[in-house]
Amino acid sequence: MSVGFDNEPTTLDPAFSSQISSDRSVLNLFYDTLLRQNRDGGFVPALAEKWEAEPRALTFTLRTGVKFHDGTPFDAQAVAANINRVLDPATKSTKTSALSKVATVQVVDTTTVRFNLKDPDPLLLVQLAHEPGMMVSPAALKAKGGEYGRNPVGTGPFTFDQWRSKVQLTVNRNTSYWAKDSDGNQLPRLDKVVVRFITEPKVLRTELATGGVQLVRALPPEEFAQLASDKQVSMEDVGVRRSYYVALNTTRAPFNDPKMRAAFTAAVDRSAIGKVAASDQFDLVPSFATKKDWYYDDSITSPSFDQAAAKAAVTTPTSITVLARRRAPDPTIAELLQAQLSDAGFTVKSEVLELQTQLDRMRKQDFDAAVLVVDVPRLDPSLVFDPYFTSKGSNNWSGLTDSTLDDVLLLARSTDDKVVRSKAYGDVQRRILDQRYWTFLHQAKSPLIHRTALKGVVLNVDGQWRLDEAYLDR
Amino acid sequence: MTAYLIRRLAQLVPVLIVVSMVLFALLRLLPGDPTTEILGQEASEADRAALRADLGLDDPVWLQYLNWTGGALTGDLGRSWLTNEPVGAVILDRLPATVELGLIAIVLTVLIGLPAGIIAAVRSRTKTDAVMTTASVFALSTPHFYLAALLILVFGLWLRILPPSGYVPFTEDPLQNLLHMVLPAITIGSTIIAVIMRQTRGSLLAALGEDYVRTARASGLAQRRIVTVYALRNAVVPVVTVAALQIGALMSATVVTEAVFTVPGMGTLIVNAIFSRDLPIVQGAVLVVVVFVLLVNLLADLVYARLDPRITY
Repeated sequence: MSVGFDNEPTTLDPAFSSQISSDRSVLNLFYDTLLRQNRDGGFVPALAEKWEAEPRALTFTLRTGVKFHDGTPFDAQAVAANINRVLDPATKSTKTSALSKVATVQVVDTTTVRFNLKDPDPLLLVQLAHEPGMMVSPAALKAKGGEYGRNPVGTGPFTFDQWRSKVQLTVNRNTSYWAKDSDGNQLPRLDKVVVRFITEPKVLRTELATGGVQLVRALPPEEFAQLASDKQVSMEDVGVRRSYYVALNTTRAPFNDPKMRAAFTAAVDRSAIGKVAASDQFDLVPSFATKKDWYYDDSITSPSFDQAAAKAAVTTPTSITVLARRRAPDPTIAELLQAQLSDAGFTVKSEVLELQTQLDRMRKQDFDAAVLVVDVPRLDPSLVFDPYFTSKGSNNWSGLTDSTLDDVLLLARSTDDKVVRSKAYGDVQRRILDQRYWTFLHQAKSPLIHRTALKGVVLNVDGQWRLDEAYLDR
Repeated sequence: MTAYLIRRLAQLVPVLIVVSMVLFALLRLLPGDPTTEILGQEASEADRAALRADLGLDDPVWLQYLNWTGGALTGDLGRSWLTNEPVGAVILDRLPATVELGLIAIVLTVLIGLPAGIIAAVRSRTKTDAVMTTASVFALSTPHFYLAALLILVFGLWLRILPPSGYVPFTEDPLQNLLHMVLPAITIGSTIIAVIMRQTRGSLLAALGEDYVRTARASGLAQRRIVTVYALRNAVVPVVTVAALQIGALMSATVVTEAVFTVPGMGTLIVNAIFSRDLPIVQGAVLVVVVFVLLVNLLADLVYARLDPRITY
């Protein structure tokens, strides 16, 4: 089976993966975690048969007889080695902060491992079920050293064969995989998976239409719309969205003034932008929350499009620059914004930049307004709101220092009580919308697209796949 | 000749030093942070700062330059910031695809561009000439990305006789390799074929108007002999100049073409590395391309002497 993948990972070492919305689909081929999170958010056993949670500890009982692809046994020592590696500052893992509440990992016996926590962490199970908790062979890490990222060894359904940069990654069936399907059949079912790295959407679409690949990571709406009548291709809306937004720089004029931010938002006709930029395949929702998210709240409303109100607010000549990334459809969105904002009395310039330059400008707060996109849902709402809206967030583009918002976000990530969290994320969204820090645009649909012959693709909470149970029905 | 060759090769050294300095300086002026691609967009500023220090980005630029050139002189072009692979190995891995694409494009040029130019000149101001000249204008004015998409649509999707994208190394499966190379080679070759056709036509027409051709005709020599032996030999010197210059253009054409057809060559390597700010890769790859273009131009100068006995070195 072949997969068309537009976002090649830079490493196959989960401790260093960086593309949070795409790397895992590839890493899932090689690695398992102690437990898995289902699409509905519930946890099921994987490398651990069961676990016991206390406020400041988690004890896992491990599955026996599991081996890494290099033949070394998977046991409590291996779990401790993996977690300690991520926690060790010297490793410089990109996942350290995800496990920051773990104080020590204690090997009780070969099949029992206990995580002692500094503080209760409602997100720990989520993190352990994904990249930060992926189990890597300690022996392979030692043997491969700096080359490990290109020679992955896990316990997962497929073993590494070859990785040719910018061309393809080939993996073979792990013949001694520990998992079986619900009927007791040995997994995985596919003998071989070739992940082909194809970045051009038109080529990706052509490859899918001609059967060159059986599954694609993502296609933009204008491309998948053309496959709608193809009976060989199946498209399923699994709730994944590309959520476009305009961040406003609140650290300088004009958008340090809430009235001007309100004028900006009122001037934007989100529906008109969605129709053009997402070929009419979009949802209009108030923020990053998708309609299927557990914390989605119907009662939250988006500010309405009101050109007259915007015009009335722009009383003095106001020049602004809108930054956008040089990749479809972002420049189109910037042009539409330019037209709509000009109609409301703003003097607008749009600057189309490549991503690195745009991020550089946004980090230095050298911009007025900027268009970007986030793939949603993420594994947890805190992972999508915290980076952008906390004062110390890594992507606090707008330069916010809003203690009210900081407090609610802290509350939302400090408890596992879903009722409390749901209400808190409602408050978070209302605060962001009331203050008009950002203008959330449309959420473009990003369906799961594959040849109809391919069955059994299992999805993570955020829509990334596992191919353990996948097969080709010829 | 040997003295000339040594002199020319020696002249390459200062050129390379200047190019490497300009290249290094320009890349350091690029906005953007290489740590974004390595650590992801969500990494904290502290982690970024630590990585920048690790990569030596906090050192003064002159020191970074000396470290790099010091390594380059001993054949060590450093390691990719993104994937930690040795730059030299990455370039060696990517070079074959681009060289192969270029070679096929050049073969197509010799097989199509040169004969078409000769025919158009010999039959100048006839329908044949008009058709060929028009075709060349189309080939010259069609952007590569557009031609590539068109070829994929026709041969990949409608006719389904050629693979729409991908790459198979020649050593693994020669037939599949060539099948995958056809569309990208036509895309890259289109411009060069047209340029060479027009240049051949122009210089041959000029040569055919010369006195020595009139004399040859008056002596009763056959048209074929006049064209191929007398006129073409004189007409081909400017064609070689243009062809050598086209090698540079060929490199820029590979950037778009390789990206569309997902051919893992030097073009995609450089562009992707620029986008992800993987500067060791950009430096190494551009340097290799510069050396290559300089050598091709030197080769063209040597070919002149062979074609035109009046040129001596």
